[in-house]
Amino acid sequence: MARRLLRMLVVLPLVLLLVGCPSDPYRASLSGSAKVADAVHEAVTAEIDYYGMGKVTDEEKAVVAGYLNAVTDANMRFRHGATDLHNQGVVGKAAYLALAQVFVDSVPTDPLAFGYKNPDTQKKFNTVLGAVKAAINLVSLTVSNAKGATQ
Amino acid sequence: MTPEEYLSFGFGLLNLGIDFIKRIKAEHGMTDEQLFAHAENQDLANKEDIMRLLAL
Repeated sequence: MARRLLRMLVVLPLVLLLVGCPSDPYRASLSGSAKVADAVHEAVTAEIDYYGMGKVTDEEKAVVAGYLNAVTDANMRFRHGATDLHNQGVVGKAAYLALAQVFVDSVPTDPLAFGYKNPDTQKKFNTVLGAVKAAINLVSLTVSNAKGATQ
Repeated sequence: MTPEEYLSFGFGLLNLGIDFIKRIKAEHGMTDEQLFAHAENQDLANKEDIMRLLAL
């Protein structure tokens, strides 16, 4: 079971990359950023629902919301930085990759380490926050797989 | 994690993956400007929701 899940965890991002391999580093940056924003949306929606059902404590809510807020701020900085590079005429991957790495490094927290009192909440949040972390990690991969000059 | 928890986690990820593929297909029809606007609007909406949640 664990091996199957591990295989799926490896294959799924690769499939996603193959399906959505963007054409240039700027487009790849926008694509990665949009996926992070969408994943955060899923997580925020889940948090609102679970808090409303009383399945998330105030402390747990603050930790998760703080994490999602930090991810959103970093995502906006990354996207605006990529747009600045694009407007300056930068087309090589290197500058976009450096920006993507700053983004990934600025959110070092592993959200799967968060603990919850309710086991149902633990399962749900491991999934939605795992997707947020995966989307962040995919940003660098997506940019590095984009077509275009390395420099 | 128990086998049931692994299964539940796996199905959750699979659903998110399917959702991602649907979004990627939609993304192909967008210009750079539209994609930027989509991400920007989503981030701004997320910020609003997070702030509202923190205020509860």
